[in-house]
Amino acid sequence: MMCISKKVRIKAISVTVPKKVYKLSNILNKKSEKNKIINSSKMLGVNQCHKTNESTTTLDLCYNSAKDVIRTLKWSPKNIDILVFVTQTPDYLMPACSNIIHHKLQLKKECVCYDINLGCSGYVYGLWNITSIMQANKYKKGLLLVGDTISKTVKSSDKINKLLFGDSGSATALSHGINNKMYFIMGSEGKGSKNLMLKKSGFRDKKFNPEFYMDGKEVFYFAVKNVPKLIKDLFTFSKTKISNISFFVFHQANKFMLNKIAENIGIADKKLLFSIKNYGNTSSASIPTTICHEKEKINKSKIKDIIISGFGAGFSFGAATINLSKTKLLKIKKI
Amino acid sequence: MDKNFSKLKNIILTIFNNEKKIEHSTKLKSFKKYDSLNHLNLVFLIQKKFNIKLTLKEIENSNTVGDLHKNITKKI
Repeated sequence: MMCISKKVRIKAISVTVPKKVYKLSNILNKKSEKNKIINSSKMLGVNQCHKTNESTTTLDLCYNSAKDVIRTLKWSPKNIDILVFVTQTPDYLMPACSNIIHHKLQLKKECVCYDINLGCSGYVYGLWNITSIMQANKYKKGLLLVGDTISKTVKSSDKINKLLFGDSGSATALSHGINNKMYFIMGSEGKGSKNLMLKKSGFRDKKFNPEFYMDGKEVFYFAVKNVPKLIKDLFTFSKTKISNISFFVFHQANKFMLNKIAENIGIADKKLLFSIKNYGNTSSASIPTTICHEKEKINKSKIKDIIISGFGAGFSFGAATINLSKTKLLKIKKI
Repeated sequence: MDKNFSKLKNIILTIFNNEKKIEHSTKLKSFKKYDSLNHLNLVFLIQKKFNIKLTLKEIENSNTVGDLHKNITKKI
């Protein structure tokens, strides 16, 4: 599906990660596994990630980021018309995280709040959703909160995924903006759902004990086959080309996969941004995390159009052309 | 033995730490330590050590050690 969001602008992006750092050296204790772990960390491009402790959740990370953008923009919480929360690791199935945050931020009663259950493609879908609703209803201000704490669901024996999956929560502030357009393309390949899931995380299984499962090879093929075409279709739809785009920010699945995707599209290395080395794969928050991690590069660039793309659980995928010319990119916070 | 084949064998040994005989007809899935991650590790190391780039089709259609060897040889 292709669509354009008009007259909504990204005003600020903030990201919060947990203080606790989990390093490659933490898992190199067994001699027999050393080679596999070192080879894998090089292939995946990850050296460390940030993990929540037991008492910190996705909601806490996103709440901190939301306060950060509100403070920076000097917004009054009473003027926010909509809050959308995207996560697959909510505090509860009921109530929605957006409603809990509504109270914590003291938003007005008329503010529209709802959650969206999506993973690695969640930032693109969330952005499309909130900008479409804002445009249709002429809302002035909106908050998009996107984050996950997948690390809580990875078994301690699964050492590579322990290193790969980090936690992060973002907030994106949006407001009415004349002459601004965002181009979106999205889709799904539902037959791949079984290859990337949180087992025992809902009512299908009797025991609730969320456990991360991924068939990395299947995810790799899905992404490398679909994302290059998605980006090429986006070039055509938004009438743009590589030279008009300053940077490409893809979901930080793993470095090998992203290089393969970039190679297929013909993107130069310097235009591909990463955060995986320092923060790992932060699921739905990996796009805003990468944007804030590389904010110096983005701020220095004369071209302010970037392309973002998220793909993963579902198999769901999406890409968008966005403009960051009037966007405050805030320093990543640690709590 | 072909120099490239023995280099490929060394890469396979590094990843799969395999005690069994490695021949052209050996299926990658027959290695005890074969899993989704090691499959990607194998392709990653081949590209790095031989300084080549394999296409998605070549990666996907490589079921045996011989298939990999053939794809490597045509790129060098």
